[in-house]
Parts: sequence; structure tokens; C-alpha cells
Amino acid sequence: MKHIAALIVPAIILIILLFGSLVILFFTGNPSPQKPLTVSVILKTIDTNMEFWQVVKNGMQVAATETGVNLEITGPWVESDIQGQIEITEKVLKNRPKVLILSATDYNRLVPLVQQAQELGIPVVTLDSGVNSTIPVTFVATNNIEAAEKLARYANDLLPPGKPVAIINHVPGATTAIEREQGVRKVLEAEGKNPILGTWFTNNFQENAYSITKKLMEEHKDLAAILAMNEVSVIGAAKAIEDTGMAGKVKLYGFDNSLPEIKFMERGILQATVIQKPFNMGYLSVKAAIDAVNKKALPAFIDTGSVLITPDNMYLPENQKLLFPFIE
Amino acid sequence: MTKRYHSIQVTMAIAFSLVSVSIIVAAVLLSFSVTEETARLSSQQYTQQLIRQISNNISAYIDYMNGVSTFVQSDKDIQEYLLAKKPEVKTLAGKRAQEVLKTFIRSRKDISLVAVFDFSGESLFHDSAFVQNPFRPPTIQPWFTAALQAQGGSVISSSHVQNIVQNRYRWVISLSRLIYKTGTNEKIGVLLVDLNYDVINRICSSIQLGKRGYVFIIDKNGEIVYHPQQQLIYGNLKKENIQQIVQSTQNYFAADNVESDKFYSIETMPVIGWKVVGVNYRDELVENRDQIRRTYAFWGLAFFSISIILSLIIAQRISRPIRQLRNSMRLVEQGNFNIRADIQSYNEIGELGRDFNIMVTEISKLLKNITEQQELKRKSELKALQMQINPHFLYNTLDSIIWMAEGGKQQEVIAMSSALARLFRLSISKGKEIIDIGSEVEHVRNYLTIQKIRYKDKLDYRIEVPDEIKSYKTVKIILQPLVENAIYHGIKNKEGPGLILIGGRKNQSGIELFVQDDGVGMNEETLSLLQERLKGNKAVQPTDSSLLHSGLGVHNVDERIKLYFGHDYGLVYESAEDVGTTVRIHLPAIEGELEE
Repeated sequence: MKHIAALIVPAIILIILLFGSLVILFFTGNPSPQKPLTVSVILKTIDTNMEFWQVVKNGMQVAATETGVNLEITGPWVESDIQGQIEITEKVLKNRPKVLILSATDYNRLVPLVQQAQELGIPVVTLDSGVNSTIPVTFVATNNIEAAEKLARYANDLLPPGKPVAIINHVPGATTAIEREQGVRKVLEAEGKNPILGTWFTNNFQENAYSITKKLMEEHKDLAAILAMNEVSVIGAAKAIEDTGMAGKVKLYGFDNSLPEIKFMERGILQATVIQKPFNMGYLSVKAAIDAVNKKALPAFIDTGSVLITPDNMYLPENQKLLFPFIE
Repeated sequence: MTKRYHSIQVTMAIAFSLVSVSIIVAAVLLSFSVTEETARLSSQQYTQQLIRQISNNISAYIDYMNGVSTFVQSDKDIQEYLLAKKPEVKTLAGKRAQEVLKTFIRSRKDISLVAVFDFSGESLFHDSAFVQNPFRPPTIQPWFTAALQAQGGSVISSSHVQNIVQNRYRWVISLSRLIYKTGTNEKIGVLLVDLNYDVINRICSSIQLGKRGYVFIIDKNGEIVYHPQQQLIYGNLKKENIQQIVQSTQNYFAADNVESDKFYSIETMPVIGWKVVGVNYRDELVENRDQIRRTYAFWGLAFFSISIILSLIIAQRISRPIRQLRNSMRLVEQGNFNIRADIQSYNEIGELGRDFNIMVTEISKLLKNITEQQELKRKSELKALQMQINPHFLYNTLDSIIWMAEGGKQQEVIAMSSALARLFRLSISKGKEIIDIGSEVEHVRNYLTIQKIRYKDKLDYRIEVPDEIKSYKTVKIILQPLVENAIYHGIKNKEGPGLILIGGRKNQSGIELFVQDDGVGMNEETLSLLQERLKGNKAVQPTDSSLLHSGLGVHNVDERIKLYFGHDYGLVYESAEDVGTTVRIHLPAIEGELEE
């Protein structure tokens, strides 16, 4: 009896523990997803013909499926509709989303809305194109400087020394234009192998790129290469080179990814292009948005990476997916 | 640990609770894990069925492509086209051959391209509008070189962008095959059949395995044919254990070294060796795991409560009779012997209760007996005392003294008075009830002295008690009543003088004293009557009233001896009519002091 009596206290403790374990079993478990998080996304364009943005959306959807969040994707029909995007953003903010992913059509004009979001306590993740503000929790985009350096380094290795090169850029003051030129110049000037004749702006017109290229080739017979800073510039320049039969003689290094560019590359007119990873961009932006909601620390800038495509590697399995995004 | 009082009820309740609760919790946990395992298994089976179906679907397409290739390579128009050397013959044969190619694509949206290539660089597509991409000739195409190496076998490529047709870039799965001249070993060309990748994409992307699970396909070299997160894998943002899958011989296993708990279900497609892989996340294997858990926990808690309540009730019920018994015992402790434990249980405790009742009854009976005995003793003593100061005797004695004083018999007066005084002193005997036989003998001697003076020659007596027994103990005033009896009933009625002999001896059973007279004695009837009375049979009443009185005296002596020394001792009468009566007094041989 004495032994049994001595066991009473441990027995009571054991019963309490067992009871507690059942209670824990009952009340814990995966925190029942009360309401799946909804991530609001405002893109530059929701035109389904815009391949780049379709791939961004694919990436977003994969991230959303993986993490179990909902996506609400809106945006203007065309990239140039800045006012439209502003209005859409205002409307979205009225609904007090938990988090906002914004790909700004204008570097400055969307800043007030980002400020408004901050006042409402809505974290903003900028995607591909940022805004002139430090408010956004992070900026998910291609590191354009690094991408341009990659391209310039490749060009520099192959170009005959001493011969000049020219830069064709799109719009003065555009972030991508500034950063890409900066990257190219940094490498080429440091190497000093090929002098840079200068930078010409197309204002995003293919015809301008075409005529600039023609003129350059006429004026500088020893022109070694043209570095075109976006798709429009590349296609205009490529056409000019093809038309003048200078394919291969004047090298062309460019940016971006499009079927015409692929064809120019197949034909040997375009020597290299640096492409972005829109899928990763979409995927990482959603992940960053979720982290922002969960108050996790985020770097100010998330580089989604870029790939240098050349005729030699363009059909490698890993690059095929980038060059020919399979849009579902 | 200090010894603390724990009631049986508490101990039992806790013991029962502990046992039942442990069993319940163990059962809940066990059945929960069994359910989980079952659900996991069924989810695994579901996944395996699903990927088998995918594998079958894709196999069907591959089979179709194979069928096309088998047909095309032996078709005579195709052969003719490939063998034609002259351009005009080739163009003509090409037209017929193209019709053949077209037939395979007509009602099939899933086939994106059927084409044959000869080794001179000529090619024929199913669509006459298609032009071969001059920058991507067949010779640099992986499917072309693979077909050459396969020596006539079909080669299935992984998913890739088909760029053989100018301005046409399609995601396809390619089947390529070397074409021989029929019946010979002569290689005459390569056949290409492209399956729209969209077909596979649609099959796989429509599959949902839980919320996050998915399906992917790798070819036999481990290259990704389809993966919903292919770009993330190429970009190192995601990892898939392709190496593990390629090497594994099992078709179901947990992924190593990946960020989350994934399970791979693998179905290897026959012939082409592709592996269709279903990916399940561990936390999704059991779809409504939380709900199941909650249900189990709920019932566990319910049974838990029930078992504790039952334990309390059972413990209470079992311990109730024990508590009753204890309460009864307490009352008994307090002196209440009228209590009876009313226990209805027919078990050990019930028996205990009944035994307890019997015991209490016995104790109370004994107690009553003792009380009665004590009372009896006091009464007997009182009676003995009363007998001692029998007023009749005192009156007679005093009368005799007066007479003798009047007669001037000073000596006799002195003797009688002093005997009377000694008699009374001895009978008081300092209040003790047990005295030495010697004192008792002295007492009776004084009595006889008085009687001798009164009866003169009518009475003779002899006291022959040996000295060795005089130190033994006896109840006081036992001889005097017997002697008185002998005088009044034996000798008084006798003609002539009577003799009273008082003796004693020690024998084996103790001490025996006797009082013998040679008086009238008793007839048998009277003797047996007396003996009956001595045995305690009060129903027997003597008819003679004087006998009744003396009988009371004798009975009192016998009773007192028995009260103090037990029923083995007492008086025994022997008597014969006209011969006399002998009363034997049996006493224990007790020396020294005796507690009363």
C-alpha cells in the first residue's frame, strides 16, 4: 500500500500529461489556413500577346500554387498607359490588399501611390521596373548593369582590337537604358580595346535604329560592332546590317528575346543577346511578397538573373525554355 | 516521502483512470497513425494510378508515332523519293510521298510534323509550304544524329524546340529513325515524326496531387521532358532529385536533400524509358490530416472523460461498503455496540461486514456477560455479607449472651462475645473477597465456637484441616454457610448429639475441603434436587421453604466459587438418609496474592 500511495502523485501527473497531449493533438496541427493570402499584382500590361509578361505570370502562378496563395493580376492593356495604371492602382489600394506587386510604367508618377500604400500599411514589391522611392520593400528585377557587363565582356573578347563600336540605346533617361549603357561602357572603357564612338537614341522606333545603323556603317567603314540596348534597337540594327550585306562583318550584340532576334541569330547577324528570366521574376516576386507579409527581412534588390545567348548555346535545353517560353 | 493518508477510493480512482486513460491515449494514437498510414497508402496508390495513366496516355502517342514511322519507312513512295537521284524524278516522287506523309497528320492535331530527309540535304515535309531552315540543317540536329547512331531503331527525343522548318519554332517530342532501302542495309534517309509538346503539357499540367503536388517527366538520361517548374530548376531556384530518381529501383520513396518533404512515385514507361514522376508533399499525403487528428483527439478526450468519470464511480462504489464498515467501526470504537454494518454486497467486503457484525455481537454479548458477572459478584458478596450478619443468628447469639450473663456465666459470656467479635473481624477481612484457607478455617472455628456454646452437647465438631493447605486461597465465607446448613438441617433434627467434621486435602485437581455431618441426611429426591440447583437449573424449586433458604445459601457459595475460579470448581453433595451429608468444596490450588 505504501508503494501504491507513493505512485499517486506521479500517476496524477501522468494523467494530466496524457490529457494535455490529447488537447494539444486537438488544438494544434497546421495552423488552419484561415483565409489564403491574396497577392495583388499590377503589371505594366495584361496584353496576352506580350510574351514577356505572360511568362512572368506563369512564374507567379507556379509560386502561388506552391505556397497556396491567390493572385489578383491587373494592369493596363498597353505599357504606355501610365494614367491607366495609376487609376488601376488607386482602385486596388482601395480594397486594402495585404501586399502589392507593382511593375511601374513610370519611374516617378507612381511614387505617390506607393506612398499611399505605405500609409495604408501595404507592403509594395516592385517588379522589373521600379519607382523613384525607397518605400518598396524590395525590387525584383534583372540586374541590368551586370547583364550589360556580361554582354560587353563577351563582345570585347571577340572583337578585333582598335576598331570602334557604337551604342544604340532606346530612350534617354529610361532606367534600363541608363543602366545597360553604364554596364557596357564600364567594361569596354576599362578594357580599352575598342573605342566607343558614342550613343545614339532610337526613341523606341525600329526605323530610327535602322537608319542610325546604316549611317554609322557608312561613316565608319571600320566599325566593328554595334551594341543595341533593347529589342527594338536590335531588330532595326539587324535589318540594316542584313540589308547592306554586312552580316558577320559588323557584329551585333543586343538585349532581349524575340522570334525575330532568334532568326537574326540563326542567320549569323546577331552575335549575342542577353535575355532576362521573366519566369524567375514572376516566381521570386510572389515569394518576396509573401515574405513581406510575414515581415521577413528582404534585400532591397533581388536579382532574377540574366543569360547570355549565343548561336552556340541557343538550343541547349536550359536556354530553349528561356528563348521559347512555352506559354500555357 | 512522508506517509500521507490516501483513501482507497482515491487510490483506486487514480489507478483505474491511469490504466484506462493510458489505454485510450495509446489506442487513439495508434489508430490515428494507422489511419494516417492507410490514408498515406491510398494517396500513394492514387498517385501511382494517376502516373500510370499518364504514362499509358503518353505511351499511346509514342506508339502512334512508332506506327507512323514503321509505316513510312517501308512505304514504296517514300522509298522511291529517297532513292530518286534525278531532280525531276525526285520532285514527282516527292509529291506522292508528301501525300503519304499528309495522311498521318490529317486528323491528328497532336502530330505537328512528319518529314523525311535524305543524305543529300533534300527534305520532304508533310506540308508543301514548309521550307527547311537553312541555318539549322538536319546534320546538326540532335534527333538526326541520334537516329544515325540507333541503326534503324526509333529514337525519342526529350522535349525541345523544333527549328528544322523555317520560321516555325514548336515545342515537340521527336521520333526519328533511319530509313533503309527495303530489304537491304543501305541507309537512304532519316524519318522525323514530331509530337506536339502541348499534348504532354496538357496531360501533366491538368494533374493535381494535393494542393502543391505535381507531375514531371524525365527521359532515360535524366533530362527533363516536362516539369512545371523547369525554369526554376535550371535557375537553381528549385531542386529536384533527378539523380536519385534515375538511380532508384524503387518506385516510391522520399526525396533526399530537398527543401521540403517530398515523396516521389515513379512509373517507368516501357521501351522509351521515360519516367513519369508524381510528387507528393508529406503534409499533403493525408489530405484531411488535421480533421482526422481533430476527430481522433475529440473522441479521445470524450473517452478520457468517460473513463475518468467511470473510474470515480467504480472506485466510489467499491469503497463505499468499506467506508461504511469503517464508519461502523468508529462508532464501535466510541462504545456503541448496537451498531450493525448494513452491507449489501455479496463479495469479500460483504462477508467482512457480516463477520464484523458477528464480532460486534459477540463482543457486546461478552461485555454484557462480564457486566452481569460483575453485578452477580457484588450481589453474591452482599448476600454473603447479609448471611454473615444473619439477624436471626445474631439475635440468637446475643440472646444466649444475655442469658449467660444473667446466669453469671462470665467465662462463657467472654468466650462467646470474643468469638463473635473475631467472627465479624474475619468476615470483614479487610474487604478482600479472596482469603487464605487458614483464615476461612479460623472464621468457621469462631462460628462453631459460638454454636457449641449455644448447643452444648448437642453439637460436636472437629476441624482437621492440614496446615499445608492453609496458605492456599479461597473465596471467603464458604465454610460457615455449609456448617450452618449442617447444623440446622442435619444435626438439629437428629436425636442425640451430632458431629461436624471439617477437613481438607490437596489432590491432583487442586484443593478439596469438606464439611461432613452425621445428621439426618437427605433422601435421594432432595439430593438430586439440590444437585440440579447447583448446576444452575433454577426451574427446580424445592417444596420445603427452609430447604429453599438453605439452598440459597449453598447456591450462593457455589456460585461465588464458580464466579471467581470457574465452572470446574464448586460444591459436590454426598448424602444418605440417616447417615449424614458431606459437602465437598473443590478449589484451585492458588497460593500467594490473587487479584480480585
